[in-house]
Amino acid sequence: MSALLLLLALSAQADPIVDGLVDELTRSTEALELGQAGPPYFIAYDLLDVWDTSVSATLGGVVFRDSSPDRDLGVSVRVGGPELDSANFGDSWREPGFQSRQTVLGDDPIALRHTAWYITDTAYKSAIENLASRKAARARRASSDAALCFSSGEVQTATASAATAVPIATLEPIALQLSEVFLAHPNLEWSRVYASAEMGRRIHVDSLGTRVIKPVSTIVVRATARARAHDGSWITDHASWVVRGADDLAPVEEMVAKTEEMADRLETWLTTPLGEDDYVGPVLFEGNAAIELVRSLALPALSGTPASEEPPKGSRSVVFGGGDDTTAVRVKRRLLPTGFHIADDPTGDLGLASAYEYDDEGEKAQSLQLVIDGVIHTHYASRTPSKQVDVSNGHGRGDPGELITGSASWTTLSATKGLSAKKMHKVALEQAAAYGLDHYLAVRRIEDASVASGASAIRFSFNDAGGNRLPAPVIAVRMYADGREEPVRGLQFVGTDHRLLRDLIAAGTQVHTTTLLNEGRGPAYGIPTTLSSPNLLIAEVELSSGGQDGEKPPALPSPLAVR
Amino acid sequence: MGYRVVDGHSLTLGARYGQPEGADVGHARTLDVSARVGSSQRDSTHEIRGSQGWGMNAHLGESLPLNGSQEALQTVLWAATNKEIRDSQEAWARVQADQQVRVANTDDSDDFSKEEIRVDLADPAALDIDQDAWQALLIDASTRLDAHSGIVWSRAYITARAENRYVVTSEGTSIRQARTWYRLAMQTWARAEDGTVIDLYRWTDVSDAERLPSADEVQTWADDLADFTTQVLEAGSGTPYAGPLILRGRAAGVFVHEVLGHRVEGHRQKDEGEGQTFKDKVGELLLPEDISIIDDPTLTEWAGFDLNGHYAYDEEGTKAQPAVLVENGVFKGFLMSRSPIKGFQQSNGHGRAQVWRQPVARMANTIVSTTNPVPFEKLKDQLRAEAKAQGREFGLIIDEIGGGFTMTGRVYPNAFNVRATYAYRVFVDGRPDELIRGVDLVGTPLVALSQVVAAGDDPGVFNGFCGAESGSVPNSAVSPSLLIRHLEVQKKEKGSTRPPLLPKPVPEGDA
Repeated sequence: MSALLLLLALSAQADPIVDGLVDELTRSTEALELGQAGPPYFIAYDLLDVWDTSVSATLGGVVFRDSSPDRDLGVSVRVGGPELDSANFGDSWREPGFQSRQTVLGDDPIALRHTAWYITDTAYKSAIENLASRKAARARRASSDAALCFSSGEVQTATASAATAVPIATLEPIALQLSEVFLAHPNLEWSRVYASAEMGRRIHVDSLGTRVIKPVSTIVVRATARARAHDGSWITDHASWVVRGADDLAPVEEMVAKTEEMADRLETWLTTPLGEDDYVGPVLFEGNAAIELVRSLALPALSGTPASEEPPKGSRSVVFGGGDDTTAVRVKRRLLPTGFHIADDPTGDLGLASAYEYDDEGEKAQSLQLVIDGVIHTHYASRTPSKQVDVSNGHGRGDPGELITGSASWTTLSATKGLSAKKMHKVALEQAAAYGLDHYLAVRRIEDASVASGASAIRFSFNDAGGNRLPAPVIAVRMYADGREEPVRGLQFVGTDHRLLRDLIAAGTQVHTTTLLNEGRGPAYGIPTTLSSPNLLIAEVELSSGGQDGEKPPALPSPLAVR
Repeated sequence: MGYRVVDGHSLTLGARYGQPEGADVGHARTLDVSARVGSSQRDSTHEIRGSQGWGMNAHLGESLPLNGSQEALQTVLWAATNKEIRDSQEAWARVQADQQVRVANTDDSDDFSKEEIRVDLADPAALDIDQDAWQALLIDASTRLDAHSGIVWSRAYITARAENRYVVTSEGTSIRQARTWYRLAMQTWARAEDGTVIDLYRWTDVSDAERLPSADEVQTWADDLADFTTQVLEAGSGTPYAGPLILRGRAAGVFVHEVLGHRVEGHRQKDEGEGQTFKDKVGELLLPEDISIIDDPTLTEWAGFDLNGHYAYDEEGTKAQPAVLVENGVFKGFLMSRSPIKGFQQSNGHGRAQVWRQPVARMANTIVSTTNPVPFEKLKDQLRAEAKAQGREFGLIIDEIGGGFTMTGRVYPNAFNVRATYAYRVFVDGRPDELIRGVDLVGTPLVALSQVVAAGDDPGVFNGFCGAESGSVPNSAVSPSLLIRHLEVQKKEKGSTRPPLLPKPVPEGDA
């Protein structure tokens, strides 16, 4: 036992990287001060110390491969005090008080401190200017009702081993095999397979004394393809895996089969008839579609980090990206009907890529009951609080050197009472009858906004089409009383936002779970996130055909078709 | 139709503060498709006057697989070809409408010249560099660069690239040419007390790793650059000035590149938005009679320095040729791609582009020479004499420049800015020269060239990359020092941020 303790003590002392960060943190905390501005009241360093491996392939050939170590150091410097500080004010894209830089490899703490020194100095100066701007803006503002700027946190200490790098020899054969699937699908105009692994550790040290070292371990495999119909409409679909370790990847045969299934799905879509011009009535969201519904509509509504504060209207200060009207719904408001709940648990299954024990601010992960019986009880919260939730609940996630925001980890939408598939069908038909319809629509798959590039996908835009937040269906099926199913394509959701969820009337019994790298809008941006949901029936959804304004298919057939 | 493919292997090794950066190793195959619709007299690449022409120079690019079956390669080509042809058909419709709606072009030359079909497949290029040895040298150099307390950050690095460039056209041209390029570079960054940013960059470009500096030379480079950064930090700021100056060799090369080079790119002579400064100057005396200027991509080196702008064929598959721009002071002609202009119907092998851009006439190795070289010390005496004659306390020597830019269009002033890294005041009364910082050279082309009075005996080679509408291309500017009777210097933009508040971290005991 004593030998083991000695070893642990030695390894704790022999981390020059952590020591270097702590030394520079101590020096900056003690000595950084400029005139009347005062010293920072909080400084944190976040070092992402990883080995990145990535490979991309098309039609059995490698397009890109890379395997290299990477270290990104971020700093957060807050000036002022928790009631009024420099963070989250003004241009959200510039983020005064936050900086990040790629830093050197090797174990020399002085070299690492050099980067820390430079970015801390830059962040501190910008934080001072931003605090002055915020104070001036607040002095001008009529309302004085403002949220706390920074919540207190508990000092945490935790050390975990870094995750081991995944060699390119593990990922490349997978990418090649999956990409070869598309050689047999000449009607798909474009395909690409991407496989990547980010393995290593993340170190968080801050001036309050928190020292958390946690593993970073994410593997992503994604096969994407695009099909274009004769009428010019096109659609993008994918088969994706987001897992924690190489051992968690599905057997390659299974991945090939899922990729085949996706390619077949797109081929089928090409010959599927167009849907009706307009549809208003019940929609059953099944499987992936239910997951996307939760991702696109529920998660943004539960975001607990306020948008960047901006000067009051009338100020001549121009702010880009600040004050954006967030889609968050206030606590105690209804998001879902009675009998529906949303919970999140970062530690529910530590084998998931989305799991963590400490969040990216070093706070201990907490399981949350976000929505109980349809009513919002809390939000995903980081240490940048809102008026609704004034303390972190261990859901702060984000990249080093950026404002850490409240985000989802493993979010589950559930119903007190689930219905069998047969009963759901019956309820949906009854609902359809109220709209004068002899059928309802079942949506089985929705495009992923982060991978789709077609006209039907939602993209970041100054003109978000009518506030629509739900991407287009890949598979929609007319469901009839006699059991007939008629697939249709070319439909788009109209005017969907979180209010659509209030029309939820039934949920299935089988729960679908997916881990995705959420690159779409919402609080889980770019972060491994697991979502669970049963099939969901919404009483009234509007869809229309349209947006099919693409080019004709190529004049010549694909070389794959003439081989 | 034409396909261009750049198959490039790249490597970057770097070090900062005595520690390695991660090695960046890459291999990519990039495809560019060009399609011309119409005829060689008038086609879809023709200038569309007015805003409709925006974006015409950009092509669709696509990454090609590095291995795998031929049908995979063909499938990517098929999709990209389809897109490019449609874009060209759309452009052709606009060109035809433009021709009907607007007045006749002042230069009605064809859009595409006929050139000899070439088939030449050179041996492929590969990178050959001792990574471990260079990583160690870079780590040592970066330690030396970081030794001065005033240097906020610094970096030493090597970047290398082996490219196999393919051009295949529907006319029958089929070319593969190989190029290797290695750059050793060191950079220091500091901030003076007045907020001025001192950003010094030293580099050398060679075509073979064997020609990179020796270990001793690398050390000396690093020490000299660190020392010099400190000197520039402590130097005074320059003030606006109009008077005589000497541009040292490399700086003179960039001056000629900006003042003359971009303005003699052939396609600009029929683009009605361009200033066309030299369009009607063929046969006129522009410079002293002892000075000539050529642009010659066939040269691989000059005065012992490798030239960055060397190639055997341009990006339109035309064989590289020397282009005489100025002969004995008289302006002779233009850099030509396959876009003919009045009086110049053929390409001289200067159609250049970065992949995904349509080639236009660009510089390659621009070389200024003189038949009457003046030793540098004599040139300096002439500078003092000229300053005295103009009633000045001093003349200027611009020793090093970081680059420059020029505006060649008609809307904005047809002016240039050559960005001096530092300069020296040379006093007429014989006081020691004074190092200054924070000045740029500005002027207009015809006036500036008319003020060149003498050239030195010290050709300097500036290797770099030049950006214009067809993207970034490697090139070289070679020139002896030039004495200019009268030129204007303006203050360079200055930062306002204070230097870092705390001293740079150092190991315990070194503080």
